[in-house]
Amino acid sequence: MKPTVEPKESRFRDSAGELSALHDQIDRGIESLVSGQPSPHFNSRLRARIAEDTSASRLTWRTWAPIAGCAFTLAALLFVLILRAPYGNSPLPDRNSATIVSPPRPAAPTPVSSPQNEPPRTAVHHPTHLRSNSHLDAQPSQPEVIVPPGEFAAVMQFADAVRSGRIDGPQLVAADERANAPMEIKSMEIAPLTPPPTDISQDASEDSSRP
Amino acid sequence: MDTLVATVAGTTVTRDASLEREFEQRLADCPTLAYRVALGVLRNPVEAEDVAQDAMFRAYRNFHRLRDRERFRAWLVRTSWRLALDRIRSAGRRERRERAANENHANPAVENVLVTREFERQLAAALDLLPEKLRMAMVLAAIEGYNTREVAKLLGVPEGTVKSRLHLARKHLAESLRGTGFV
Repeated sequence: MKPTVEPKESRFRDSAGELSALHDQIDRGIESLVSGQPSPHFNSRLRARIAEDTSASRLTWRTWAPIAGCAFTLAALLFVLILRAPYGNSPLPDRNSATIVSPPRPAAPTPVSSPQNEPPRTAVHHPTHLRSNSHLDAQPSQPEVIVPPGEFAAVMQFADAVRSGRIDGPQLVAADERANAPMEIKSMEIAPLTPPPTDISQDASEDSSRP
Repeated sequence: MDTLVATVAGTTVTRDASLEREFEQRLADCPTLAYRVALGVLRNPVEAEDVAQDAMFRAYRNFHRLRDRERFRAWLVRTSWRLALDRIRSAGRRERRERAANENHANPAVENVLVTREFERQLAAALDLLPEKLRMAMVLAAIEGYNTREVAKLLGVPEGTVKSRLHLARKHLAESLRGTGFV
């Protein structure tokens, strides 16, 4: 056994030495791969590049600044024009909603054609009328109410009927006021209960006549 | 604020003067680091210099965040490495790089007789096959003046990790070189 151990040990020593030498060789090889210096013009090239970039960025800013300024001015001008445009020139009203205000009272009463109609509380103006300048004269106490389209059509029909005189507006209003007026309850007169007098003497004579 | 006014290409440039001064200090010692890191990946001096230029230029742009010296160097190493890898990946460059490397390393500056041109070629090929972490540790450790502690600082890992990576890298390289039959 002994003669075989020695060669193994020596082989191990040899291989360890070889490995160490190989590692040294590898280290030196990589050192030589990465050894070197940048060229002497490196720093001057870098400074020139930095200066070029700085001036280019400033040039870009100077180029775009007037364009951005013009765009901003144009946008501001448009905004002001839209704000100052008359309200009546605005586009068509929204189809899905309409605005109603409290009714103007007719000057003279007209005969009532169908007083049994539902008593209205408001009258409807067409939205185009409302968007005209005349609506600005309306009293501030008149609230604007948004109503659904179907309901709006019904109110429009009713308003036409009032305008044409088929419905007497003042009378309807008066009826409405009557309906809304608090009910008066008259006090009832309750007569005091008076029981009929009982005849005690007659009862006593009837008792004495019994056997 | 301390400001510096200079005239560049007809326009007045104002920058933080202290930042400028600090960057000038970095410019005195860091380009070599960036260049060598890039050279370790590319093995082409011209391309390595381009990458180092790019890395330093980016460093200039981000210098307000990199004023700390150690942080700056670590950032520069990572950026140079990444830029070099990007360049290597671009099509058509690899062949040119290898050709230039063969031409470049024919200089007589190599002191050790054993390190021949063929050995370097085989070593460079073996280095390319290493995992990135091992390769980076190996290249940084080979850059003159960097011991394992400094490499650990540059990589932001413990010193023991660097030692372990170096050991593994050497082992892999030795196996690769044996596999080629060169050793």
